[in-house]
Amino acid sequence: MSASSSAPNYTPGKAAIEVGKNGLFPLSLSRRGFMGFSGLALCDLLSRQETKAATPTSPASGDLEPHFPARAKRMIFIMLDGGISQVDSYDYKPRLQAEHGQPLPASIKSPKFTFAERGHIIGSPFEWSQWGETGSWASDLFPKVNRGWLDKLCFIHSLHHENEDHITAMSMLNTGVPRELRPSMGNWLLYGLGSDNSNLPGYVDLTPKDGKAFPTGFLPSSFAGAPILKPSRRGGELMWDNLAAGFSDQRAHLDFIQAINEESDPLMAELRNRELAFRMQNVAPEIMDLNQESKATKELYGVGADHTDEFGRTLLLARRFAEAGVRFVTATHSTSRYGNLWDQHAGLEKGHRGNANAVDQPIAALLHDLESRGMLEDTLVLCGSEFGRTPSREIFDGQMGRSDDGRDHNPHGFTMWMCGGGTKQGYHHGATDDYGYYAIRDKVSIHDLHATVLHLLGIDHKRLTFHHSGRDYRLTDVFGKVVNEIIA
Amino acid sequence: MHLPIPVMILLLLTASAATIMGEEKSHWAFQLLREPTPPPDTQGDWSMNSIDNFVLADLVDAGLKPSPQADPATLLRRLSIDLTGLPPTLKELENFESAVTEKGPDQAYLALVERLLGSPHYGERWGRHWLDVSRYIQGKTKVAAVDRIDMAEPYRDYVVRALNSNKPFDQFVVEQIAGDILAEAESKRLHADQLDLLAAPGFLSIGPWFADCADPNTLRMDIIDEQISTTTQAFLGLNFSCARCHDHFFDPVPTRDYYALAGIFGSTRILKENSSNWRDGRYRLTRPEASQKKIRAFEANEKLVDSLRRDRWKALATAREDLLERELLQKDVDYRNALKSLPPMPAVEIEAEDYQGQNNVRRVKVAGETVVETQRERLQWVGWRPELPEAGTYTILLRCAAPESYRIELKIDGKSVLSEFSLPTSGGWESRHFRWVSLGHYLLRSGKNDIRLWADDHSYLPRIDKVRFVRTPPHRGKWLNEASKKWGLRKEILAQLQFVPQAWPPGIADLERFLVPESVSRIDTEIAKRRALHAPLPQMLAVTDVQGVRNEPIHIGGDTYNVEKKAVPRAVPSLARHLVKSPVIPEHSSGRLQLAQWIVDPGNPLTARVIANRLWQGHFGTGIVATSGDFGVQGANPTNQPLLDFLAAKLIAMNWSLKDLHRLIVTSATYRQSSSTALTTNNPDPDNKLLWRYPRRRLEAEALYDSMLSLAGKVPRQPSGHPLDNSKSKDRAMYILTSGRSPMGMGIEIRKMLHLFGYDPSGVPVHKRDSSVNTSQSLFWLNNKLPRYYASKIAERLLALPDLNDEQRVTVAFRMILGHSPGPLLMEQTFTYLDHCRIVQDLGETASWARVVLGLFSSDNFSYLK
Repeated sequence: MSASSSAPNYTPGKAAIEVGKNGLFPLSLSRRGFMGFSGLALCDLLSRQETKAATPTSPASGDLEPHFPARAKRMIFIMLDGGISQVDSYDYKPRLQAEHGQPLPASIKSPKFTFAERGHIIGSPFEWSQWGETGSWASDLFPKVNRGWLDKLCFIHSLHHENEDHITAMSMLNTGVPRELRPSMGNWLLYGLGSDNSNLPGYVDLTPKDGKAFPTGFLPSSFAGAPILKPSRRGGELMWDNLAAGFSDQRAHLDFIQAINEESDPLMAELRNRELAFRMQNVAPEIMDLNQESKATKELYGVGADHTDEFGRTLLLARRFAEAGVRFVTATHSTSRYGNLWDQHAGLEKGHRGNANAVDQPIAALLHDLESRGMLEDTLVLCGSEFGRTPSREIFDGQMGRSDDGRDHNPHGFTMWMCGGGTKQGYHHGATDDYGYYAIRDKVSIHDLHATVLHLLGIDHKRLTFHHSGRDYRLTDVFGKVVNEIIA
Repeated sequence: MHLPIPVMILLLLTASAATIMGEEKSHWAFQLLREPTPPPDTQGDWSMNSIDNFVLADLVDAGLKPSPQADPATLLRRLSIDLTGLPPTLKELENFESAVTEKGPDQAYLALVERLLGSPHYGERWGRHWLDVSRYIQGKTKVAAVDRIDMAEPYRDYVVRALNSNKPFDQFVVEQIAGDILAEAESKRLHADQLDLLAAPGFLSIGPWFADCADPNTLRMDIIDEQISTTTQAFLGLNFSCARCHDHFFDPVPTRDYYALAGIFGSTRILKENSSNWRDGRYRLTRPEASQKKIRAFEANEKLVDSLRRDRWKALATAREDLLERELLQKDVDYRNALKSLPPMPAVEIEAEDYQGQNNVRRVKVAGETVVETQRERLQWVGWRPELPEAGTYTILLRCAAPESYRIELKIDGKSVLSEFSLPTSGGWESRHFRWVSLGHYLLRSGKNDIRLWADDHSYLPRIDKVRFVRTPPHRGKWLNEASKKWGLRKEILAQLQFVPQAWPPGIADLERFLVPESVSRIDTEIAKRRALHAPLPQMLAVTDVQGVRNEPIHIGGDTYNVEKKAVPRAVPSLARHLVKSPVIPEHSSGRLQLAQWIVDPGNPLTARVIANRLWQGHFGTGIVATSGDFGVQGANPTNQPLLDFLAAKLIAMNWSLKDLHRLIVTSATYRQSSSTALTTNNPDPDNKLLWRYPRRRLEAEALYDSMLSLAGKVPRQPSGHPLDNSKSKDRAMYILTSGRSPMGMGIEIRKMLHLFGYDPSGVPVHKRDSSVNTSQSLFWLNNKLPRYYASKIAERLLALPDLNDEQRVTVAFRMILGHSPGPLLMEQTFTYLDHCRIVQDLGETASWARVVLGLFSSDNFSYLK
């Protein structure tokens, strides 16, 4: 059921495109002629409609028109890899300080399985205070974000799932299932919405953890994220595979290829992609080139400063891609520079402080930048981790040797925030128990989160389906409920 | 688990599934398979066999005409790539052309079919198609929560062999599900066949499952589910997985049937053990890939080695008694005094459990002592950061134990200072086996030093109890000499005692530090000799029935712990019970053999249709049923059911011979049509579902890569009718590590390329490759160094051809790479580009030709099967 290579919506015959006369590509080709990725999305939908006719039992599937007015046109997902501690950032639990060193009360049950042995309560090592006009509690981990933006963020404090390890939790957060290979949120969004720029892919995955974008699962690879890799160890620019021209004067080369293909039937999908690739080669390096930004902007993001350089570049690029019409950008913060990612089984204070220092200024800069360009109202920014951390200390055997100044994984109650894209400002949804262990009020599952994100982007999660392996699949499977309370 | 679906709908849907089952007119795929009579040929001169009659009938109905036959060169390329995954060589092209001239195109084509069906590369090409269905991936996986899968190669090679030898498909199925049971029943077979039977059920065991799953009971059900899902999709074209939680919404698969199968697979053992801590177990069950005779010889030898080891321990004990009595006890006071008189050797000793290391290293208690050990064999390290009082030369000592000699590398501050160092065996893992081992002298600085021990890849570290750093004072040798003379003591013992005074008096394991008795070195020589005689046997995945087979109760809503009271008896699915008798499953067997026999029962309406359709898909890009893994109610309807039924019935009638079915398909006029007939505006079948022309399609990732490799001369063709020589084929894409580390220089680029062109390295069943076209692929051909590398290799080959002018060379290039000569216009354009490269871009001769080759790579004729 994948998009076939011979896309059905072209008019065959050599007359469709004249090549080789005015250079490689005639100017007469309109944007509509080269729909790029949105064209592909449409192709697939059309071809699926056809097969649908043969299988009338299938429910209606996604279509290109939004199901209802979209609040956001695009989304930037800031992924803090490893698991930021909710009880050290935005889920204030004064009891932890008060009961530091004591065991958790019996009322807080241990989950069926934990990753490590459960120790005693540790208080948050960070300073907590109320910020802004809303007086929201936050630690001093993110002073720049808190000072400028806390009143405009929309928090969900009651996220939860059941996957105790990084791999399954990460898969859950991205795809909605823990242990299967399914398309990710970004693949689905692109599949449902198409791209807004015919010169760029619709989904860009900045500095993905393993150096490659999430596989598309059963969705055709045309809905894949384009991975852009971390700068090399010595620093510098982020890297896009195969983008840099392998040799000069490629126009003559493309003309030659076209000449060979002249003898056969023109294959539009191939040609169109070669065309897009060629244009991407010209357009994308410009977007990748941060020197086009003013010195002030670069400084705003912390580009050039030791701690913030890498993530500053990442988020500045995220903004540039979003501005250029890319639908979905993920920006992953995944570095072992301050400990093992955000995964502070040990050295909580040092690790979280170091990581937060690296992202605080860039995130505040991104929000500011988006707002000043008038983009924040239709850009949904989501920030968080695959899970949170336990209120209790962990006697940790491993990576750092024996230590007990860290927290274990906790998928049972954790916090993420959203900003812009039609979400409420200065709003807190849901709550965990007195110790921040379990979500107890207005619980939000990952499926609910996905349903809400799709909703904000104008998609009904129940209607965005793909037929595969005998049934129609959704990002939210058979679950998911839009969290209407957080929508402005 | 509560499904938020209105109960009404659920009831309606299950009710409809039930009606489908009960009714006479059930879903087409569940109906009895009968061989239909081919419709009459209305256009007398087109049909070549019955397939064409079926195709033609539909075309005529739609007012369409079939396309003319493709030209010989196109057919040669089409058939070569289709049957072997390799483009024809220049030589093969020439041979074929002369055969066409001599015998006529028809005879030449039929001979070509026979040659290619007999080629050992056929098994590689079609084996890879089957390996997609059986979710085989090459190498270790790095996908979500997937443990490594290696040792699966014997299964891969079995598949290739089975296809090459044209093993009847029914036998192929039975072996993959129950080969081990057959092997036990027929122990008198030839050794090679016996090994094949044992490798075949690797089908059940190569799945990607979930080492990180925290709950062993859930893991067990997940593994069963993975096997059920793969098996039912592969052979029956149905996915039973839905029925884990609820009756299948659309297909006649009640939950009860699912758990009847779960009993069968649950009674099948594919893990060594399933412990609560994944770090402790969950290896796949393996067995040596060798004959019973070899295994027995190896085991007998191992027993001998074990007894030699016991002798060695005894010899050490005796020698120790001896040494204690003759030397140490008599001179105990002297030794102690001598030690006191020697200059002090400042030492820092740390407990090994204060380590840093990977999660694979952990602490365990051995007789009250905490030590560190590794949990499974792989590349790993353990490290410490001792704080030393002063800079200087230190001897590093480990107190450790291991029954084998493991090789380690020592790194200080990230720098390798000792590699491939064989730690001596200490006789075992237990408390009494711990001994002090010196790793040598190293210059260390004051303050913290970073010391790391790396194990060899796929090996262990010993159990380590303590690490000791001893500062060697200057003139130590002189002092030692004097002291040993003065007190009349043995210098080598005194020297050792200085390092580890706490090893006084030495235990048995430590004795070797002080002296190696002659009896012990004799035994060591003997052990080494024995070991050299019988090297460890290569392992392959194994599948067996468990001891104590058991039925599985229905898990309500798929919940691991919420089960019905009564277990469901193990049984085959009920969906074809009106056509096939359900076999009785013996009390003490898992029932896999009965399940397999039920699957290949000629009365089973699905099996033959599903595999016939897979073959059709392989030849035409799309199956007659487009959803080749889903023949259920939700799957696509067949575009030509009589044709599919004809092929399926023929397959059974031809004794399940896949090669006979291939022959039938590729010799049809339908297959030999041209692909270049233009689509007219009033064509009622723009998608070519009725096959009014041969459907052009993008080559699979492997065929693309192998084409480049082959053109560079790296795939020597193996003669038809001979078994495959793996060593000559080893560079083909299907043998490259596609996940995890690859040893090749351009391994990363190759892996990325395979993924980019639709290969899925995640280890889930793939019924149809993703052939979508995207921009990254175009960028790849334009800018990646991999095609550039092969282009320049081929350019070198072209330029090495003697006595050719440019025109002849261009013709050779086109014929080699695209399988046909360029027309005059294209020849002209090629010259233009060649000159552009030579003159405007000022490239050298090889680089200019490489650019032309790269252009040919990027053309549609290279990437598409036409």
